[in-house]
Amino acid sequence: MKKWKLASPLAALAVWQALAVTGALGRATPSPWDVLKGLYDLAATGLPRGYHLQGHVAYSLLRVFTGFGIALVIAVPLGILMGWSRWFEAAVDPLVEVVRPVPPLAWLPLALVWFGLGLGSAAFIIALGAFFPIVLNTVLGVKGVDPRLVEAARTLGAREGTILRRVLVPGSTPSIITGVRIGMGIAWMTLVAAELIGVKNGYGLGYMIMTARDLARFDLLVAGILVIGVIGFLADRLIRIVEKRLLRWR
Amino acid sequence: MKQTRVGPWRSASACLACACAAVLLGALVTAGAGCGGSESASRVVRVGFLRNDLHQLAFYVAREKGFFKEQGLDIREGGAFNAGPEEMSSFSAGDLDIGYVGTAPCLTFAGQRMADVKIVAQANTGGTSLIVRPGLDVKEITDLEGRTIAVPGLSTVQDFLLHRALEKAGMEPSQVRKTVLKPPEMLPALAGAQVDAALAWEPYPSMARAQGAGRTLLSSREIWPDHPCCMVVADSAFIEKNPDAVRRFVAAHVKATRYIRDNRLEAADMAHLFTGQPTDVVRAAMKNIGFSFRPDIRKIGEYAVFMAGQGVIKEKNPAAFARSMVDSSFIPGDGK
Amino acid sequence: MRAGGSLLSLRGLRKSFSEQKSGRELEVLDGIDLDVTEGALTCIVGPSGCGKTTLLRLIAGLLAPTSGEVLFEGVPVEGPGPERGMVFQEYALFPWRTAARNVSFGLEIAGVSRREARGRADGYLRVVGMTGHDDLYPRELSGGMKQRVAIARTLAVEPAVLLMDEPFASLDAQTRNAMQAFLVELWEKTGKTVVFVTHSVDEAVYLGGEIVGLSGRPARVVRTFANAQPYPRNRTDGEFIRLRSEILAYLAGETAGAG
Repeated sequence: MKKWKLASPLAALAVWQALAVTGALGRATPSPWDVLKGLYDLAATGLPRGYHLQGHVAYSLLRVFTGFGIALVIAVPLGILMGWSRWFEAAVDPLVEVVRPVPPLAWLPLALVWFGLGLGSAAFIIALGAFFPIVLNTVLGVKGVDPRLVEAARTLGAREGTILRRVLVPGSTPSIITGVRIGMGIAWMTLVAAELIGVKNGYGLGYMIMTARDLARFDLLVAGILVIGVIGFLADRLIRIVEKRLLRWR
Repeated sequence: MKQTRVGPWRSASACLACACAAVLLGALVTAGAGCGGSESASRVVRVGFLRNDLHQLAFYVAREKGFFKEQGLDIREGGAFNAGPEEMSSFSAGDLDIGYVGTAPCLTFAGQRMADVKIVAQANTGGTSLIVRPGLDVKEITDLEGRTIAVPGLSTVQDFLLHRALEKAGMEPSQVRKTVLKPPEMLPALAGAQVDAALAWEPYPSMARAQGAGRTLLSSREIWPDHPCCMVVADSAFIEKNPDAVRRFVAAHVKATRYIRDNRLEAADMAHLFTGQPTDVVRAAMKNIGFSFRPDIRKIGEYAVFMAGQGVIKEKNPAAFARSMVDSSFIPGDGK
Repeated sequence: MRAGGSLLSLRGLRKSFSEQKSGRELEVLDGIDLDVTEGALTCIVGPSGCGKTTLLRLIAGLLAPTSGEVLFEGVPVEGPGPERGMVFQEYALFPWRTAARNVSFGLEIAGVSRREARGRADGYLRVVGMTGHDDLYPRELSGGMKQRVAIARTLAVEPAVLLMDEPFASLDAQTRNAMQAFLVELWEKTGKTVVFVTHSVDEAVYLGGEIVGLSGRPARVVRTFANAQPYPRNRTDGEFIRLRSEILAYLAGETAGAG
C-alpha cells in the first residue's frame, strides 16, 4: 500500500519532464532535471554567488522560529486567560478582532521603521501571522473542555486556580496543538513573503527566490520554491510527531 | 409593386444568407488583417512602465498631451512595476506589448531567453544617484567599505552602476554588502540607518534629500557619463504582428521626448503630477536626467560585456548580442 | 451540629429555572423535604425529566436553590466539595490521565505527595476491582470499568456522602447488573452514605434501603418506601416484585394525577 503513495507524484514528475522536453511548457517553466541541477547550484555555488542554500535555510529558519516562538509565548497564555475568564475575554477580544483582519504583510512598512530591516521586523510580521490561529484555537479549546470535567474537579475539591491548571490546560491541549500547526504554516508563508521585500544580511529563502527572478533564472526559482515547500512540510510533520506523543491519551 | 405570397419568405432568407456571408467575410478580413497589417489592425497597445520613475516621463507626457491618440493608438496600462525584473517577468508571460524598462533587466531576461524583446528606442540617460544616509561621514565611495548598500534589484541599471563605481575606485564588490530593496523602502531604511547607502532612479534621490533621508555621494554622471538607462522595448511577437503600431508608438515617444527637452519647466510640472512629488523636488531631479531617444548601441554593448563577465548572461560575443537586441528602424527620420 | 441524626437534610427545597427565550419560570422542584440517614443506601426514583438530577446537583452544591435549604451536617451547603462526592452518568474521567492518576487527582490537589497519592490510588483501584488497569487511559477502558474508576476516584477523597447520578444508565444490561451487585458489595464494605438517583424502579428496589419516589415536574416527594430485604437481593423474590409494583403504581398515579 505504501508504494502506491508515491505513484501519483512520480507520474506527475514524469509528465512534467516529458512536457518540458517537448517544449510545451513555455519559456519560464524549467524541467525537473533543470530544477535538480538548480538545487545543486544553489547549494554549491550559491545565489547570489557565495550565498549558499544552507545559509539561506538557516536564516529563514532562525527568523521563523523566533517569530513563531514569540507568538506562542504570548498567544497560549492569553488564549487560556480569555477562555477562562469571560470578563478578560470581553476586555481583550475587541482589540484582537480589530487587528486580526489586517494581513501581517500590511504591517511591513511600519515594522521596517520600528524594528529595522533585520530579524526584528521579520520576527514581528511572522509573530503577527502566527498569533491569531494560536490564540483563537486556544480559546476554543479552553471553552470546549467538557463542563462535566470541571464539575467533577469541583466535587473533588478543586478551586478555580487548580481547575485552570489541572483541567482546562490539559483539556485544551488538542486544540492548542491544532492552532500551533496552523500558525506554523502561516508563519512559514509570511516569512517567505516578508523576505521577498527585503533582508539586510542577504540571506533568506524568500530573498533567494526573488534574486533568482531578478536574474531570470527560473530554474533556480523553482528549485528554491521546492526547498521552501519541503521545509514547510517537514515542520508540519515535526509538529504532528510532537502531537502524537503529547496526545497519547486520545 | 406587386408582391407574391412566396416572395417575402424568399427575400427574408436571402437577406439572412447575405447577412451571414457578410459576417463571415468580415471575420475573415479581420483575421487576415493580422497577417497583412491593414488600417483595421488593432490599435491596442499594452504598455508597462516603472512606478514613479522620472526617467520614463516621456510616456506620461505622450499620454497627457495626446501624442498617442494622434497616432491612433489605444494605450492600455499593462502594469506599473516596482522594478525592472518584475516588468520583464510580465513580458515573459506575454502580458505586455511595449514597455519602458532599464537596459540591464532587459538584457538579463533576453540573455536567459526568458523574454523575447527588442529595444526600439531609448528613454533617457543618467538619472541615478548613490545616496548615503545622514550621519554617515563619507566623502568618497571607498569610505563605504564594509557598509550595506541597497539596489532595486540584482542586475538592474543601478546594480551595474554600483559595480562600475566600485571598479573605478579600485574596490572589489565583496568589499561592500549589497542588499536588495525596492526604492520606496529605501528611504525609510536610510532614515532608520538600516542601510548605509542606496542607488535609485530619480525622483527618489531628490526625495531623499528633500526629506532629509540622505544626501548624494555620487551621481550617475560621475560614475558613467551619458550612460543609457531606460529603454523602450517591444515584444518580438508584437513587432511581427503589428509593426505599424510599434512605429506609431515610437513616433509618439520621440515627439514627447523632444517636447520635454524644449519645454523643461512645463515637463517638470507634469512630472509633479506623475510622481506626486513636490515641484521643487521634481525640478531638482530632472536636472540629473538626459532625455534621449536614439539607442546608444555601443554603451548598451558595455552592459552586455559586464553581464557576461558576471555570468549573468551566457553569450560568447556579448557586444554582438547587444547589437542584435536593438532595432532602431522604427525611429522616424533623422534627429538627435 | 446535626439535626436529629441525619447527615443530609433538605428543607422546603425549591428550584426553578428561567427559560432563556421566553423568560418564563420553569419550576423543577416544588418543595422537597428529605432526611438522609447516615450509612444508608438511599435511592431517589422518578420519571425521566422530573428533576432527580437537579436535586442531586443541589445536594452536591453545583446548583443553588431558589428557596429552601440543603443542610449537610446541619450547615447549609455553599458549593461543591469533596465531602459530598459525586459520580456522574458520563463518568467524567479526565481523558488525559491514566486510571491511577484519575483516582489520585483529588489527593494531589489536597497536597498529598505524588508517591503517597499513587499508593492510595492503587488501593482504591483494588477496592473497585480494577487492579492491573492503573496505567490505562480512559479511552482504553469499557463503560463498566470507567465507572468503577470514577467511583474509586470519588472514594479516594473519602467523602461523607456518595452522590450517584444514574451512574449505570449508560451501560448494557449485563454490565449494569454486575455494577449493581458491585455497588452493594462496596457499600457493605465501606458503610458509606449513598444517595443514588435512577429512573429505574427495578434498580431502586435492588439497591435501596430507602426509596424516595418523586412525582413528575414540578417534583415533590410522593412517598418514601422502606426496603428491608436482605442483600444480595433477588429479582424473582415475591417481596421484590410486590414492592416494585407498589412503587410503580404510586408513581403512575402521581403522573396521571398531574401534579
